[in-house]
Amino acid sequence: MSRAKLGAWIISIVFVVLLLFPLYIMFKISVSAPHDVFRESPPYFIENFTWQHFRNVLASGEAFYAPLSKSFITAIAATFLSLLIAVPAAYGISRFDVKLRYILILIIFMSRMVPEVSIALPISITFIRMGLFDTTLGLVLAHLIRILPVSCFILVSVFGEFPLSLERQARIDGYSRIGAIRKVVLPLSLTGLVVAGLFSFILSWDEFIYASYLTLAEPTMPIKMYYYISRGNIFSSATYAVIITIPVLIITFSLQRYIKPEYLSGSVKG
Amino acid sequence: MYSLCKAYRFEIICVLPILLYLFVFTFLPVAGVFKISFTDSASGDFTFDNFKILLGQQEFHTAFINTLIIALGSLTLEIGLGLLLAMVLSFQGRRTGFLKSFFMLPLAIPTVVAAVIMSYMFSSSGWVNRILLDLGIIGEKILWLSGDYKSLFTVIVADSWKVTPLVMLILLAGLQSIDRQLFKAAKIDGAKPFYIFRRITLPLLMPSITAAVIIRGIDAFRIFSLALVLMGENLKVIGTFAYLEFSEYNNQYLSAASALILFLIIMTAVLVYIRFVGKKGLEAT
Repeated sequence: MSRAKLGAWIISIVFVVLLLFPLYIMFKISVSAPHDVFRESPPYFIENFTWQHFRNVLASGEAFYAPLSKSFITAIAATFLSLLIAVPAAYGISRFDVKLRYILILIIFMSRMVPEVSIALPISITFIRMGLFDTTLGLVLAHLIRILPVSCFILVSVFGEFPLSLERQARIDGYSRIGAIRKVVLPLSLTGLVVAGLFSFILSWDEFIYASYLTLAEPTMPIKMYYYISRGNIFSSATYAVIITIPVLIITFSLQRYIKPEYLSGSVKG
Repeated sequence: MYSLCKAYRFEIICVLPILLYLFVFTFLPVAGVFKISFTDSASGDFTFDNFKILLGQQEFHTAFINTLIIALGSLTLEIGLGLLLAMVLSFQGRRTGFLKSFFMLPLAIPTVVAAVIMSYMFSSSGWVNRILLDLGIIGEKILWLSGDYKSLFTVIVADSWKVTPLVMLILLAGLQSIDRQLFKAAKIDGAKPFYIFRRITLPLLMPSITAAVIIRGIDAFRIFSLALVLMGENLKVIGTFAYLEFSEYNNQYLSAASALILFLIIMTAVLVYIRFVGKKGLEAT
């Protein structure tokens, strides 16, 4: 092995360790006995393994299940609504001519430039007035602000790659425009739809900013975790962190093959 | 115009819902922030007072400077490390698939969870101090989260932990799309590695770098969860300043004014970058 190759390996292994170590600590705290965490110099390895913190969280009843179900229902509803809006939008965008497509993508991209705090504040004030504050529906509507650009960009690239000739053929065979989309375009783009849906789900599931502006009595999982960390409850926060992360981890890795860098950056080749 | 509408009637109907949504949930709120930030808290009249108060407030100055330092610092670190890692991984060739999986990990960690993890790392009895002590690099514990310049550094490192892999993946994709023949030709012509990097790699990678800088830059200025969870009141950025003004001090007017200033900073930064570095990458955005 040449010296340069060796150097490259060393650099990447150092970085992998730096990336993994904090995750290991999160997991370690969530399964360590208290005296292994609070003592002067805690051990590097898990000495006294315990599921106690998970049991405590699961046993806390409504305090755990209410945020869990709120987060879950919000994420499912947001996924459904985001597909309902983004699928036609992405289809339309991908069928416009280049110039119009570019303008629309730019408009959607511009919406990402607005800081969440400046959107969340007026929405929060309006929602209080409309009675949508602290409701699941209100949160779903707010989460779409974050989700729609991403799911839209993913779907534009999916529909953009769809062979137009197939769609034309379906029209020639007598399908209406909508029929062709329903019977040909959508079924053949199913993978892309699933990817967009799953992305929507995790973007809602781990959302924090809108939730902190729009919820009070009925927190979501991330808000609940923030509550524990700000109270210094290290075991509950670590346990919540693990519980929140697991679905995201599973989804991200099962999508690894489909994740293109342009999705991650929220951009798309026009 | 009319013929355009007719030709694209179906497509226009398709994009109407999202445009309507963006209007109600992005455009109107922004207009709302403008309105609130120019509204007098007592009389409800038009006023510049909220901005005068903010600009005269030491706390806001600090939050402003903190935001700039953190945004520029984390962006520099992330692009630098991301580029280094992308070069290293593309240099290693085919075996990167397995390494790439590891670099995906922080992407799968929600930002707020990353913030919680980083608070375990950087608290005074946390693991960063522990390791530095064990290695004999420091003699006593460092208070990373106390709110001084060390805390700025902490936020930058914590943000980079989460984001560098993303930058790396964007740049790696850019690197892998460069024609290998170019490097071979340059080598045959006797070009030195650094010269190749400066004259071939960097220019051809520029669109990817621009995309990464713009997208990451926007998020770097918008930094919120990480700063709130790690620092709370100890160290404020404009985002958390606006949030705490609203939720803790119940002052929506100052909150709106500072949120508006943050928005203007982001717009300016993006325009300045496009003006000086070029639009090339934006076409890929």
